[in-house]
Amino acid sequence: MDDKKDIYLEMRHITKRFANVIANDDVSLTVKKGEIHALLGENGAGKSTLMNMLYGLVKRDEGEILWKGKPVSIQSPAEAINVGIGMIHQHFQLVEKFTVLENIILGRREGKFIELPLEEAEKKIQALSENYGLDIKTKAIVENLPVGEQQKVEIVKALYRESDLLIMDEPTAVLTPQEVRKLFKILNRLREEGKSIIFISHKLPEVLELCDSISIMRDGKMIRTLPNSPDLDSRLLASYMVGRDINLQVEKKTCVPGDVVLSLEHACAEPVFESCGVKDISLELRRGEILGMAGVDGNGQEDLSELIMGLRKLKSGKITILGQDISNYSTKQIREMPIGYIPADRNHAALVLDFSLQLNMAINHPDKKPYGSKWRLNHKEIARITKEKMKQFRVAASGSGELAGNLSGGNQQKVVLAREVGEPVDLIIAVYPTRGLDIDATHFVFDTMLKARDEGAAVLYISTELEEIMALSDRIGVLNEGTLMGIMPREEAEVEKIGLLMAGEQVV
Amino acid sequence: MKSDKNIKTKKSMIDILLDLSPVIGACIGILIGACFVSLWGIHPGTFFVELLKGAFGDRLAIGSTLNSAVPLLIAGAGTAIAFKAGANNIGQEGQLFVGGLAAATVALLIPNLPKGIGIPLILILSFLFGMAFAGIAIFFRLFKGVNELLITLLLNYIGTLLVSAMVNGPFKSTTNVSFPQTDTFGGQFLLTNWPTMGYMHTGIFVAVAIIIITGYYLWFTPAGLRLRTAGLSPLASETAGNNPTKIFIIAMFISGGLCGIAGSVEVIGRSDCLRQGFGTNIGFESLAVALLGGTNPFGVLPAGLFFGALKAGMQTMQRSLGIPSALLDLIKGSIMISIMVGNAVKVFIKTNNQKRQMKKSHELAASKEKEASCQ
Repeated sequence: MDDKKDIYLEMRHITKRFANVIANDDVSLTVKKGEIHALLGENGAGKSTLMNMLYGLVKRDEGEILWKGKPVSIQSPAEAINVGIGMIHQHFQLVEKFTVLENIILGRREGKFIELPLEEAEKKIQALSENYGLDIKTKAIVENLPVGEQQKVEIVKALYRESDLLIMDEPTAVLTPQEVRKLFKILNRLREEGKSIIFISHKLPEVLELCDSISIMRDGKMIRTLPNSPDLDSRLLASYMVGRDINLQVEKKTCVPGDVVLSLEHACAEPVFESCGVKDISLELRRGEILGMAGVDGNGQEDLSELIMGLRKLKSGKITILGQDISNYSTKQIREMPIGYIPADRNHAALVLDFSLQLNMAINHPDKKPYGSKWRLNHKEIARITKEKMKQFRVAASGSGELAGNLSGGNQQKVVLAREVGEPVDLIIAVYPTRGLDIDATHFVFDTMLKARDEGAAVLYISTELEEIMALSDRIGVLNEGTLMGIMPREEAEVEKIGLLMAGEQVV
Repeated sequence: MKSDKNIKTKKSMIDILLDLSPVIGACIGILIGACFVSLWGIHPGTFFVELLKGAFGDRLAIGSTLNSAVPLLIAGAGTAIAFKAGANNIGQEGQLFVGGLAAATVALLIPNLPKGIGIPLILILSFLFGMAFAGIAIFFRLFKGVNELLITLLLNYIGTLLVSAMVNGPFKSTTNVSFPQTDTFGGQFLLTNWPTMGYMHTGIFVAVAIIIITGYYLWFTPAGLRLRTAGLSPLASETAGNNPTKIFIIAMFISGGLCGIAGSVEVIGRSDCLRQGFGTNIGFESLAVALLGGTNPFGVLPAGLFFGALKAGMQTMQRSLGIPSALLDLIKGSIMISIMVGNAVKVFIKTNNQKRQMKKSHELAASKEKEASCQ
């Protein structure tokens, strides 16, 4: 094994536990000199945790890290930089008001106390710039630069610190296709110069094009590491990425679809903050069926549900519920219809944690019978109904006056279910309804959804858990970047196909 | 299940103590006050006796206590509504002063109104003036993104100075030139009072009515529930189909309006004209009253009476013990700070507890999951 000295980084049997999840379970990773190594996986697969441990941001519980053959203990980013590991975060760590030069030398402790070695640094940067073909303008103010240029500054910053290994966290996520081409050129150049790169991504074509080796993580475990070769294709990688054993069994009656309850026609919504919006989604949902909506987290799931509930403005297109055009309805008007909505954010959107359970039961329609009338809240009746529903939905709490915040996640979700689907409804919009729940509560959610379906409700079940989608759905849709990639009957759904759609690949 | 219940009962004991922490703070504040007076050579025992005597000693003292409590109760209830809705109105002082200005406006510009119309008109106009003042803060919050905390705070100065300017200008008295004030209002604009009860006036009934109405509104109406929902979680409010922005506006308006009424009642209850600086510090005290009362009108009632008693007792002491008014302000200030500290401790411990509880339930869920997967 004479190529032993060519190995830059070895992470051996790394394990990391957070409060109640194992983020990394016995993960090993080896990166050679001069290779671009892809780290592939869904959100939450454990890629970021692994890299944060390498970069000293998170402490590992077990395992060891070898750098150029020697064990190292990296406790902070500063130590990581010292041994020669640089990380380029998805959100750049640049001071926007500073010039490129100032940003690059920031944090270096060289030169005299009161005098910055600007000229020296300038020369060094120019040399680097020529060597790697980076073409960088040191005098420019960072905030005036386009994103691609800012990323180059980050790369130069790492090179200036003499990093031999660059960790790049989804570097292409923020770039235009043209900028991606330029970035790839730079990365290839770095590889030629003997630098190693860990390239974190979930975009399969990019990985296949650029990388030398590919490591795939799923559910905190390293699934496998393969060398890149022409016989590899996206389909295979996708199946490794999402191909968990589908063993979740749910007893289900056959689906008897009735008339259309919800229909979207070319619905679009603007993105807000960091969401991706809704891009031209058309679908129909019928009585007595569950439409499962799969996708990697943050691909428009919440946008879609909020759009249907009137919490977002419809930019164009049309939404119909029960034959009524609700495109311009407010949430209040939509709430008047027999719809149950289970929002993604249980703690902030679904419940008021500082309210008692009975008040939480009443907040949707406090002025409607039996909760009250326009000028009176019927506390007695609300308490009675709450107790009744708590029994029906098996909520474990000391009483209807218990604060919602004191309940466990599973019981909280049962309260939400009791409120939203406790009365017969025609449409259920459920977003990540099992998130953070234990197995019992998860099955309770499933049973509730199936019961509602059998009683004639139309259910839109949005989840990132493919297993759940496969178990529950009668039809399956896949979201990617706010676009509906396709809808297929459950019988035709294969894990690999869905995985590809989740990764944004068209499947014929 | 069993262990859950044990945790529950143990927690409620601590909870009661925590809920009382502002009261405990007030007691500590009074003790600090006693320490101060002993520096002036007054025995702390005498201090307590005189304080109680001045607040509850006789009919005059009780009347004086109630009179001092009136504006605190009204403005305190208004403040409670704003805080319950998550609107940070700290402009009580300014709103109260423009409320007083409204009283003068009615009494001086339309002096021939009969009593049955004059007083209601004053109350309504002062409500509107207070609303308008709060409206400025609403405008800046909604259209310029400036926090209402800042605007209402700054408007306090404008409110007090506006009254100064008016009583030194357009409303300046023609008969009394020794103090900046307006002419005497007609008797039909003044609230009935009873000299034998320490000039206690009918404002106390207005105050109690407002406490009851606002308390009922917050706790027993759907609108009150919506307001509290928006205050605790705007996102939940929106998800339930409400408009948190609209609720913010309503709460700010009601809050400002009630503070305005507090000002006009103070003017037409305790004097017969509008004086410069008539309500100095009442606004800030009502803020403390609202916090001491747990931002709940029903809690504001005892808190307001407590502060009223404190004020009345100290006033008497100033005369009977010859304590300088600066020292009294010092004592009042230390009591207020102690209450705030008590409140802060409560909030701190509660959030800490909540975090711990969350962690516990998460761990419980995790261990359950493990058990389930083992089976």
